[in-house]
Amino acid sequence: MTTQVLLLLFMIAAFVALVLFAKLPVSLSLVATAMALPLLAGRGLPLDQLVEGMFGYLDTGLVLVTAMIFLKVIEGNGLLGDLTRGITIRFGKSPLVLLVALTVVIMFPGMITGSCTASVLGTGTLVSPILLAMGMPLPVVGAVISSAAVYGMIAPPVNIPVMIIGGGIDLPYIGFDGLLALVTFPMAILTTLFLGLRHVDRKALARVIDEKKAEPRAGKLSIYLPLLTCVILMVGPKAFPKWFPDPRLPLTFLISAAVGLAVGKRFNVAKAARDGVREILPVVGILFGVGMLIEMMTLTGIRGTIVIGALSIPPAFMLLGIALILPLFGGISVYGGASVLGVPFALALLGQNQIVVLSALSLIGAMGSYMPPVALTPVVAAQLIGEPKYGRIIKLALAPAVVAVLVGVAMLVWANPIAKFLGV
Amino acid sequence: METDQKKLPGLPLSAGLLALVVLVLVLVAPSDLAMRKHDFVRKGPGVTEVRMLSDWFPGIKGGRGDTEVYVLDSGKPGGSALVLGGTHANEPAGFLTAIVLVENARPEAGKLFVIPFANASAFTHTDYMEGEPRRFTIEGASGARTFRFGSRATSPADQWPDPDIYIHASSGQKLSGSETRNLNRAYPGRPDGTFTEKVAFAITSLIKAEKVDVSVDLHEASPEYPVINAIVAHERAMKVASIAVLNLEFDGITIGLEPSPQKLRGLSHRELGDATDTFALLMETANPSQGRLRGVTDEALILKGRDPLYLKAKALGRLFVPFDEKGSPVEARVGRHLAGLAAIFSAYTEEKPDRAILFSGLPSYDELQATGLGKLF
Repeated sequence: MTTQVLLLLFMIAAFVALVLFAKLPVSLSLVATAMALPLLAGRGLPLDQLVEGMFGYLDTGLVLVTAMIFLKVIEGNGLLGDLTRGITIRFGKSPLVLLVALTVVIMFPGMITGSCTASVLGTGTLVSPILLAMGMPLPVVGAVISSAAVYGMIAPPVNIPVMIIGGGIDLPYIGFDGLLALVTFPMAILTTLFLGLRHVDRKALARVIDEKKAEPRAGKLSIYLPLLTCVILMVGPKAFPKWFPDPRLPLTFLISAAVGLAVGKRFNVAKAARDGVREILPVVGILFGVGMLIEMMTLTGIRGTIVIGALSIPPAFMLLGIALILPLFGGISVYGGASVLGVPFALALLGQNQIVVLSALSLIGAMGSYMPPVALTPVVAAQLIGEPKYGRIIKLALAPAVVAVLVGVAMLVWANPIAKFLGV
Repeated sequence: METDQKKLPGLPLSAGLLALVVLVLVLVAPSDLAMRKHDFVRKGPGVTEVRMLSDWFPGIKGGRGDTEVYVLDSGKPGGSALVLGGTHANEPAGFLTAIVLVENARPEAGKLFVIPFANASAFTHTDYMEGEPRRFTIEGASGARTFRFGSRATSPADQWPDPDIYIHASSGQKLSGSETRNLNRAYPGRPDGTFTEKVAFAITSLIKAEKVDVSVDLHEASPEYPVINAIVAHERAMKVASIAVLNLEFDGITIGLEPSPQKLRGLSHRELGDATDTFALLMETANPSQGRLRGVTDEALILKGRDPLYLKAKALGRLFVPFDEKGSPVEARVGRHLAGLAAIFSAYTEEKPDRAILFSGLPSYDELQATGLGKLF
């Protein structure tokens, strides 16, 4: 057994012990494990690299914090309630149509930003009250939002894992849109229907529609200005990149939140912002801890050992390895998995059509969004809807995720015939 | 599995943790700021002038994108060449070769422009979550020389935040957002573009203004990358590159030749060839310290290039270069670049004798392996 394997075992044991027995928060457990690793490996306490590791998730952390502030603002000024009311009344008569529409709505922010968090925090918030009103239990709502958000992340036009793997093998992000749409939209909709349709209580829904109709409107149409601002700032730079400056997501959310303060009901802004930050801070803490841990795993050679272990799988079991290891690594970071494992796997499959291969790898890797310790999508969804145990969401989303991985594997097996059939 | 919501620490613990964070930042800041100081480069016998890149595009003057351009003018008629090191600051053989040129080369015909730190900003930080050392030391003839080991991309302190997707300005090609800080995806650059695009524009402007005949961008790649130990050439430079490759093969240096892909945009060998009259080429050597399959990441890996995990990868058939217990030491990588440059300039001189580019004062590949890199510093 090599030093790196021993360090890996120590890392897992230390993390689990700190969380389960010392009852430390996940974030601090990750930090403590990250600090112990180099000490044990005889590399001292490399403060520079430990701090640097945290910065790996700085952008994601900022997106999360600003998105939560935006959501608290539109909750406070009445926009959220009014939108829920409108969608429920308009589509409520057909639960099937309503679920399909809501799935696409949840996916949208992820499609244009490449981030499942943007989906959960963006439209997931709008949609969760409707799903609850349809009679779905909390974990089911969380699972529906999570799965649609994960498919949104890899749906066209922006699939960042494909871009990351493509960057590693010099393949430009061209020609992926059709195939990605063909894979993600049907699977997202089917997953929502599989998870949610049986829980729809038509009578409850009809009652909710009546109640909503009886409710007074929260305000004039101007109440929708923050949402419109957000959509324009998200879509504009993608649609007109030559002349529309890209404010990026954190500023998009802050500008939209500022617009939200000018319309709708008055509320305590400072409290709303404080509440938003407090709710999301544990998730941000986990991300920073993961950044530190990955940095130390790389420094001590654990990361390379994992990658070589994955590549050592005999060719006959290579696909099985991809199906298991890529989502497992996604438990730390889907983007990280795309870079660290996705690129070597893509290189190992060079004989196959690369557009199909990269699309499949991104589909398989995206399912890592449900994996602990980060489990970013279900964790954020749980936080959002008030579900205390995100593990319940994961349990529900697991079966559709396994199906998605199998679809991904099938795409890898028949990459060339698929490419020929679709003309990609 | 629960989130940490209910486990938030109380005020005293929070204050203590905050104080600890501030202390750590105070401890880390000096070494972080020290990365902004350019590595020492000695003016060698061939250096006739040291200029700044902003001389060709004032838009970067005084900023962290501005960088030294060493001019080695033979004073004799001939052509001109540009050598770029440090496009990616985590590829040390690239910038070490450029520094060796500045400190040792004697131009015999034509004029040589050398930029050792092409993306100067990339030398001020290392890549997140890569566990890389910030410096490495080579025992030189004049004492120990320490060099920074930087990042593939411009520092976020100079260009931030990244967009979700990077759209290459002149072609509309889409790449992942972090590539927006990659100098070798930013060519030909824009005067009113991002920090990185402005640096690219300055280099393009230099090539146009100085009528540079040959431009060579020195890189390294991870051993599992398909285009490695290779010259990548723009179609106009293909004949010169072919002759250079043949000559290198005669000297026992195995090297591949790759045409610059038409569809992969923003790279020096594509855009500089398209946007200017220069013969645009790029060279790659195998550097395990930037690879995804590497094991323990430290200074020894950068210099010696030995890694048991890469040995395993070779046995698994995952590498595109020979790799054995000797590893891929920095002497061999710099030696390949020096031999490659000599072969390219020699081939160009054969093709266009009235635009000759010749220099002396540098060891051959075999001599460098025998004496070591330190002798040149």
